[in-house]
Amino acid sequence: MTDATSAGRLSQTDQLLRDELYCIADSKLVLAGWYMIVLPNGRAISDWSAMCAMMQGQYGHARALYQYLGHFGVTREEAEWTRGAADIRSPKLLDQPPRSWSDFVATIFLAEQAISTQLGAYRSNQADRTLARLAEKVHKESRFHVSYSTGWIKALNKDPSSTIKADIRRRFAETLEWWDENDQPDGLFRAGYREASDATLRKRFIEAVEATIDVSGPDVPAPVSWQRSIRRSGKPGIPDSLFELIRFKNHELALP
Amino acid sequence: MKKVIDRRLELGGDKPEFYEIFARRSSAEALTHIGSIEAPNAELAEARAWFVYDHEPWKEMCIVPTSAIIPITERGSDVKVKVV
Repeated sequence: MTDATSAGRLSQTDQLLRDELYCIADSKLVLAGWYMIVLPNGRAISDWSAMCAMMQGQYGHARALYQYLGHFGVTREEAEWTRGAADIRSPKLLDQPPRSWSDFVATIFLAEQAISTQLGAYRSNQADRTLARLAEKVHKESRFHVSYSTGWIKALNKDPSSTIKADIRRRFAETLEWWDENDQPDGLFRAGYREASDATLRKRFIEAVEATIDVSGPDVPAPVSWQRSIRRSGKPGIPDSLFELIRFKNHELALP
Repeated sequence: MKKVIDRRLELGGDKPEFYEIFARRSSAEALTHIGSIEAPNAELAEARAWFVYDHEPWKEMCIVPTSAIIPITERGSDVKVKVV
């Protein structure tokens, strides 16, 4: 992975913060790509408008977070343009494309809830007020993204033939992989950057999902070889096919 | 060819349900009716209203189910909530 070139000079807490913010920003980048690709399938004109706005919102949030990574010596070039598929740290949940409209709704609901839950825990941090304000702004704007998918879940769930419950249950297991179930030491919580530990945030996420739809079922086994720096288990990175769809294509067009 | 709308598939509900949208740009302004939106539930109405009527940076926005409006002068007619 092309980690920040200044990693050697960072404290352990700064490295943890940089890694977690990379994970959140990359999740937003990939989610924006999902909206962009699914956009032509928007049902009504109001859905088109909503998906365009959510895509724009996610790109904006990702770029704001990448810009914040400058605190750790990460350049815009590195964060946005030069990383490859193996460097993207989005959740496994977003690796596989949606199978249907229902699966799309299920996935964006879980992804938006997960990201909002995690970033929301930075809003009250006193260690860095700039980050707290950024987290507050992003969290506030993301509320409408969650409303959108929650509304569609409720609408789809009225139809007895809908697959929405099955889609959420299948994707739910993948989403839980964003948190390690094992009680690892949580440096960002102890340093006061987050107001809750990873274990608490995982619990909050499950409660938020269950407030909309019942996801009770067999226990999800704890991921093997989970790595905090990428918030997933197994090999780092996203599939090449997904990266080709979401990657930044023309560096020169972004320059003034 | 005339477009046939599958209401459940495209709009998320079997029958039309509307919400009226009210907003103001500053606390000095009164809440004004700015339009309406179709949605099968309040959550989807909230999101659609926020994203569709985003031409102003609203200080305040709220939605009301059209079915909750009791007509007084227009009782018995096809009620329309007019945009000012």
